[in-house]
Amino acid sequence: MKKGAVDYSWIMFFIVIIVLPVLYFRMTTQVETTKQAIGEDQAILLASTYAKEDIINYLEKAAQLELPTILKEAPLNSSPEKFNEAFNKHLNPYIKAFNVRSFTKIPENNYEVYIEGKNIHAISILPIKKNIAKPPTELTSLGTMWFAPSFTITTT
Amino acid sequence: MITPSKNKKGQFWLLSYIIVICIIAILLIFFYIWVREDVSVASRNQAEIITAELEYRTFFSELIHAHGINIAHKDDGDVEDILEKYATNYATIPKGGYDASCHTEGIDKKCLLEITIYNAASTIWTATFFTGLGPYTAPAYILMKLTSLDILKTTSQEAYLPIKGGKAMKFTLDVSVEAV
Repeated sequence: MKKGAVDYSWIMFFIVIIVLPVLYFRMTTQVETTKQAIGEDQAILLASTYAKEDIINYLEKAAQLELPTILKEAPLNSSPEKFNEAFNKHLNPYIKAFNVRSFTKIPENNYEVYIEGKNIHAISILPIKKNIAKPPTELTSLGTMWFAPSFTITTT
Repeated sequence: MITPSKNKKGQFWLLSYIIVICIIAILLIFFYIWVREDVSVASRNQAEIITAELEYRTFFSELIHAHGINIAHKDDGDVEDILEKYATNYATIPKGGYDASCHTEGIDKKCLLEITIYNAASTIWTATFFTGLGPYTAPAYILMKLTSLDILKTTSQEAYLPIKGGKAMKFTLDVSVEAV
């Protein structure tokens, strides 16, 4: 066994002794940062699917609110064209009101209605383009998503 | 020629060499165990944060889906009742307190829902140690866990709700979770 090899191993030993705590310190500080709440971008991305649902919910609730008026104007047994027209006509003011306030825009006259028993299926023609961006200005965009705001409501 | 003294010296260096290698190996093993433990704790925390974030979103989304029209049309006092009852049934936290306060600004509504969890740490410990999720629902477990992790204690969410007559109101809900 040469003395040089042993010296080398002692040098290695001291290097390891120094490097391991440094590495551990770096690792733990990195880990500490992950214990914080998730970043703003990640939170926005996680919320995007729910934001989509909330918009569809808005349209669905608006249609529910207007259903008695729509049915008065165009009963379920009226022609599909007439029902379609009444449905879109009464939904449009809600869409306009939403568009004034939100960065996301919902297309008007966007529904083909299909009636199945007591269910009214509102099938959207055009999708909604939603910018996945940082509130409140939405100037920094993380991406775009498109979705069809179709929904079903039931007559009682 | 190798003399006995040289042989003895060689054996000493070889022994030292083996000892150094063993110490380095042991240090590396301990370091690995140390780091692996920390990384797995961090991963678990991250997963819990994401689950909690999604749970808050689900809570809000389901709330406006179930009670959107009432929230938009009823007065502040009634909306506070709706929020408290909904949170009680949704979260089902044992020893939980729910307090909502709302105010209207123009046509918009802003509400604060405060959820107080009593004895959260011991309840979580019991639930985790003995029964996994135990008798508690997932939202209850997550909310309790949140308070113990000291993260995401408040959150704010908003959505538009339709008001009869073709108007859109902004509904903002701040949820705060506190353990006492």
